[in-house]
Amino acid sequence: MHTVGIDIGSLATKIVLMKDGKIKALLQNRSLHNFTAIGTQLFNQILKDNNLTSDDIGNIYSTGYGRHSISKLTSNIITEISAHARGAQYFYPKVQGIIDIGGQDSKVIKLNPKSFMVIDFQMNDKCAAGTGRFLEVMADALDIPIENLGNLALQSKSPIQISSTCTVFAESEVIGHFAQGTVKQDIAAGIHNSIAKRVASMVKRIQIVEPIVFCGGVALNPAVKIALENELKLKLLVPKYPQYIGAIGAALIAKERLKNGRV
Amino acid sequence: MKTFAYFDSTHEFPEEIIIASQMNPYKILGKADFSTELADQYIPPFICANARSFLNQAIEESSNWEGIAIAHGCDATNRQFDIWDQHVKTQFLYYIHNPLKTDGIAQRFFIREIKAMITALESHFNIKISLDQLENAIQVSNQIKILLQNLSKLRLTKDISNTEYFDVLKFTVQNPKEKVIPYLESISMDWLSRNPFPINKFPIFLTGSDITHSLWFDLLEKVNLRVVRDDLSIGERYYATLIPTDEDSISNIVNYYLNIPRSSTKHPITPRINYIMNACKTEKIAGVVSQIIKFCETFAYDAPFLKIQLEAIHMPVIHLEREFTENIDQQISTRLEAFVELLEQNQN
Repeated sequence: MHTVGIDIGSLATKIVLMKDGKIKALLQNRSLHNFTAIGTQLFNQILKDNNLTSDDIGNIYSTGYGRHSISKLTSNIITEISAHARGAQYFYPKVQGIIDIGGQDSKVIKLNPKSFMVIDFQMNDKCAAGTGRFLEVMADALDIPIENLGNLALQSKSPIQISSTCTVFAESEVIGHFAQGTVKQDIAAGIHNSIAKRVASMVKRIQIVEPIVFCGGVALNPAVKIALENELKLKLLVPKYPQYIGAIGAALIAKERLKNGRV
Repeated sequence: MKTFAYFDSTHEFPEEIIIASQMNPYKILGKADFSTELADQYIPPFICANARSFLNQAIEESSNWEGIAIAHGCDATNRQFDIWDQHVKTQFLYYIHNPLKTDGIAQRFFIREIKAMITALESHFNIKISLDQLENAIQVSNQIKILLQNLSKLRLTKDISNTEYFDVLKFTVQNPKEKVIPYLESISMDWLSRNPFPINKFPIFLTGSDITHSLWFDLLEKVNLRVVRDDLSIGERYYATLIPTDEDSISNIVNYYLNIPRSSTKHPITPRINYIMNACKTEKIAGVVSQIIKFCETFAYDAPFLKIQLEAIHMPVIHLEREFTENIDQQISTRLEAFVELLEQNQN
């Protein structure tokens, strides 16, 4: 049986096709302004790529910021919290905590050590600090592609301190450091430490313990992982396809709910 | 009937004095459209938006009111009196100090404050507020509180939406009491005939900053959270206890206001926490939603203590900080939906 999970994030939409609980295909694209259109387009494309029709799909769940936008396509919705928890368990069944940093929000999820069910969570406030958007703004300020930001930070010998409370102020700080002649590597490292401090405060609030999975698009950036590990003084597990964890979780929940006679 | 408005960020203003003076005590709750533009000129945006919204309404509508009183609900209110004095056009603006403590000294202080307010009202409006009038006002107030207590109980067993409950409370604190009593009686008949509590809704306790617009109640309803108990000022704090009748009228009023469910603006935290814990232990409650409007910090300070206490009795709790806006923030909605998923998981 095939199931589909669609994670419509603020920056990127991810879709996962699963067959009998195993990943069969993954696709993603920028979400842009029309969540309905991008969700539908990716769904049609994944069907076409795999020679399937919508009749072949047993159940479809959506998650993410735009999860309500494709209600005509999906059977139900699930929040990013539940979807990421389930998706992380797919790769690490004994996971106790999850850190997800996406384009517009970051979240920390605590699981019950026995039942592995969600028992608490934290999400960032309505603020870009501590999210992927923060890294994008900073990459713009440094005039480098976002993909290069992490590797640049790893070359730093003396990271600077940058505000972790506000993206706008942090950008001004970065420009100020330029004026002082600080090298880009040290500024980039400061940016990563800043995001780590912000997320670490959420981790400390609900006190998650290892094993902890780090996922979301930002988990592709090795410098954020290292900065977080240094800040939290623990090891993080980054699964294969970290940006797809929400979609994978949604597809798995779609399968389990269907099996239990629930759509 | 003449309207006398009051600005009270909790439930501290002794409205019985206004009832006794034959005026309608009208609680200022801000404009329906969330506007704060006029007030933003005088109060900076890092101050609670409710307070700015109240000032906005007062600047626009004070000509409809005979006078305005401000009660010491929270310290932010206290500091805003001078702004109101400067920018709100009214013939009578009065500040009544409410004690922080509840001991004998606080009681004597509040008696003196109430007597001073009565004198000020008598002098300005050229009226006499007699003890008989005060006793009658207490009777009316208690009658309303009993009606509200009975309505509140129906929330646990009948299909009463969050917004319907809020609307009843809002009507009660803004309309002449002789209109309120028949209104509540008719609502009572209606609610008694309702369907049983819906099985798809989770009964919750709602605490935190006061909610002045129905939008937030609608959001809770939309995600299947049904408020069956609360400790809000536009809620149980207003009617949970009755005004005693065993002493003289002023002492009775004072004893009442010193013993209502406490807000986080009043130290210590214990009575507030105990009220919530007691409700969670005695009623069928699935979880607690603790919310604050941005910059309403006293409730934020209480949040960790409340969470620890509730977790000790395995009561799920979510703490949220909300904006003062007519647009629902997607992140808040996601958090509430995730909280519902957590409750569903507990149910299974």
